[in-house]
Amino acid sequence: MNNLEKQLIGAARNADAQGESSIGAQLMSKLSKGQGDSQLRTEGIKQELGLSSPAPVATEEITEKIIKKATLPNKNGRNHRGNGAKANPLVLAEAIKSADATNEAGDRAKIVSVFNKEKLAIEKEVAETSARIQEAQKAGQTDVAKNWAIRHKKAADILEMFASVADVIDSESGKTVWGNLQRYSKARHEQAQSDLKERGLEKMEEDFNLDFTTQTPGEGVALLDRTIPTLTDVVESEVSADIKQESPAESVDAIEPLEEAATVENISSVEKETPEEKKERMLKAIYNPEKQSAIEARAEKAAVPKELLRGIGERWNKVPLGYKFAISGALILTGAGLGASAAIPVATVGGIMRALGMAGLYTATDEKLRTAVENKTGDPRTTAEKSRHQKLAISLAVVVGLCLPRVLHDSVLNPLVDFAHSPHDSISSGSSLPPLETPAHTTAPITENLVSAGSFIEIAKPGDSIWKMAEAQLSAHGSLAGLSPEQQTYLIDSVKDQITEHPDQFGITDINTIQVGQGVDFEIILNDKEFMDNAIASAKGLAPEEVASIANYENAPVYETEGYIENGQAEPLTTPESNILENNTIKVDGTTGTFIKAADGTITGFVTNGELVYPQTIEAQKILNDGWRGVVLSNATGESSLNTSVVENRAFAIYQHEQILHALDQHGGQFSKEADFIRDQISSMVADTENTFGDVFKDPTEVYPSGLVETTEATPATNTAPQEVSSTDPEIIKVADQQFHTRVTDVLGSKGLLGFGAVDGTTTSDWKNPEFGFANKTVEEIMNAKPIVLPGDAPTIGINNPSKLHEMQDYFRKVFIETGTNLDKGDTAETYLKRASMLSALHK
Amino acid sequence: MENQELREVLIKELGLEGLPPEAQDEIVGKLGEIILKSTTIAIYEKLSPGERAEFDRITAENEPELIGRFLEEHVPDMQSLMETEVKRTLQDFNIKE
Repeated sequence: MNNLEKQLIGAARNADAQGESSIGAQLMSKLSKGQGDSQLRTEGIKQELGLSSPAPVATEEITEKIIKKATLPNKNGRNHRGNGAKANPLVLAEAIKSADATNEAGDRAKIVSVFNKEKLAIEKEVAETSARIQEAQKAGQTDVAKNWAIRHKKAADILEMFASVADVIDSESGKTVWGNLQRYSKARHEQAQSDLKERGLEKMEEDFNLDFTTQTPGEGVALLDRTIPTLTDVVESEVSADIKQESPAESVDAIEPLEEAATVENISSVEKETPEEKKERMLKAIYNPEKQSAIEARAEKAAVPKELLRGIGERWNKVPLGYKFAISGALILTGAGLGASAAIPVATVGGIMRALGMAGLYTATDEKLRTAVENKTGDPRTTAEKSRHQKLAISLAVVVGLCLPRVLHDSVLNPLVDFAHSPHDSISSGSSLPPLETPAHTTAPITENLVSAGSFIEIAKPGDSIWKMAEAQLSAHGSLAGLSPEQQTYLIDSVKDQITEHPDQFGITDINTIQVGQGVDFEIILNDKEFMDNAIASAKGLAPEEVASIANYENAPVYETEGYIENGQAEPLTTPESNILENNTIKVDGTTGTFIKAADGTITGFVTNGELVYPQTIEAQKILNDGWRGVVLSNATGESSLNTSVVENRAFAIYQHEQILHALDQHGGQFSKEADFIRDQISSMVADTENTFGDVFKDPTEVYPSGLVETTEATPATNTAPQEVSSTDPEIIKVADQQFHTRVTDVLGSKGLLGFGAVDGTTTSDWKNPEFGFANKTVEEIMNAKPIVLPGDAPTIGINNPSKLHEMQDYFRKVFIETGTNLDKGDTAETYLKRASMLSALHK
Repeated sequence: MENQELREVLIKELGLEGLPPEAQDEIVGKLGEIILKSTTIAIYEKLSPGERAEFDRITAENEPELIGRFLEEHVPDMQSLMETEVKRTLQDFNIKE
């Protein structure tokens, strides 16, 4: 049947349904030289065209061909490697139907056998992928689980297809009947044909000034008399390509339900797609198993060790999300030659390099590129050049750092921070990214690495100040040479003033909020010859009284002279000596501890605030036994990654307590009630943790200096809740309540636009539904819940809502890390979030 | 330049405007992983069997600078290699035409 004939039949079929003579019939009449019957119906046209033949004969050769086609490996391969045969239930069903029509029992049995075999294989794969998902989730491998989930969905879809066409084999008659899928497919093809026909007829109307809708059959024939000499050509040329793509005979075999969306998608639909559709399309693209398989195949061909490729994925999963975005940005913008002027924030550069232990390679690359350009041009590199160099250097360092696992130690990338810093928090707000641990093998401090290679980037380390950082940079670049101590102080202060005034030019937002691991870029000022010449000249020209004034500061106690010199006043430092128990608060090396006291002075609580950074994180982990992770995994139930995070976080909390205890000791407070309270808390935390997770901590005598903690074995405490805090202060209660509502709204509600359309999360069914709502579910129950596909009309709310469940699980991890709120046995979502909110309110 | 600006540039360049931030993060993050893997494969493709053995030996020494020098010597067109892999990834995954 040629395309025009198909068109004619399609048109006739349409008219059949309407009980009218069709344009197809009219065309038929004309094509048969006026001898045809313009009132013909579809069957008549078929007979005229000689197409009313019986069903095709299913010879053995055809049967084999059908089976082969139905099981041909293709891009939608169904096994987890993506290279297995893919069953096409629809094709198999068609083959069975065809065999029925020809009464070829042998062929039919053979195809049914294939049908059943493929169905079993798919059932097995559904079970297998489900198990893999659970394994990955248990191991905390979110991305791996996600990939398995995609494959699971695909397998489940195919299985559903089998179920849909199962009724192709009627149990009573033994004959084939139309299955749901076939009916669906048929409807799709008819729709496609209808669309096509419309386009074809519209083209004919346009080209020949016809109006088929208003013509009687007679008028139609008269019109066609004028147009028939070229009509066939028009239809053939304008429509044949489309017909070829979507003709019924071909599309039944070619269109596969799983690919339907992609098949029907065309350019115009992409242009018109909604954000949700765009999101689906892009996510579908990046998680396409076929693409993943192609990468694996390419790696195999290039003899890339499998463990190496797997290691990249595993290490990438451990990279904090904020860094992931910046690293990807560097790779993409550099590699694609895009965003020439877009620089990676200096603080982020420092953080990434610090995390990867690739400072040396980064600096060497950056300096090499800079030197090459500056030697060639004789001028300092431009901002755009610097940006490009920076991204190239980052890219190379990241490739080396992440692609070569043997270079790195596992402790380099701490998965904890992945929970603590959502990409939106760290990126959108422009806040500094989390400082990470420095790898064990990197012995030289990152600052030394950077400075020694002539870099202008100074990375803040514990105890640093902008003053110290400026001094280091000026010294590294020889700017302090030949100046007296007072003159050096003046010059350093000049540089510091510039940074204070224009922090954004140096890659920071405020000199008072620089965090350890953050970078400050001094290039712009140290390369400003005019400024430096003037500042040095001014330093050298200081009057004697000015020199004396500066000298007075230098003779002050160390902690004062190391601060920022501002209006003649030394700014406070974060050393223990400068801040000790002020207003019930003590600050030690980035940690703030606050004692909560009753009116009579009795201590009722103690909360700590502050993020541990390297090397504190390493020190904190030293209180954990070797092999503690194994102990946790063997003793605790629930999500393994969360459990290990809990233990690590407790170790950090204990370390912070110990540091504060140490500071109290240094100030004669070893036997104070505050010190006693902290000791009790340490004991409680140890006992509480080990009751749940097993023996994970070293003996206190192995860890703490003598006298700082009680050396008796910690007694397991029951009903001990170290962070069980409350307040009678109406203001604190109000703030805590607001925070609680905000937290629930973050996940389940909506803040609306300028307040309009806002929905308090605690009012939603997802939260308050008595049966499925999160409010009354225990946190443990929520964290251990798996997304499920519910049958029929089961409500998809609360814990039964897969997306909300996932969001809630992520949110608990985030709250846990951010607030340090311990999970008490039996905590419900509501009690836990309320306690976390109270803790936050008390901190404030 | 702030993180937010970098984000905006990247989102615009990749045509991810209008998507929820979570989806943007997921896509960009996943792309980074794919590019890293592709670049690693491309490096191996450039090396002869003997060079691969040498590469393995150097990486075992835990010296990133040595690796940097090795790549500089044996994969002198590292920059274009990376560009190729990035473009390949963006095209393969229909992110950027």
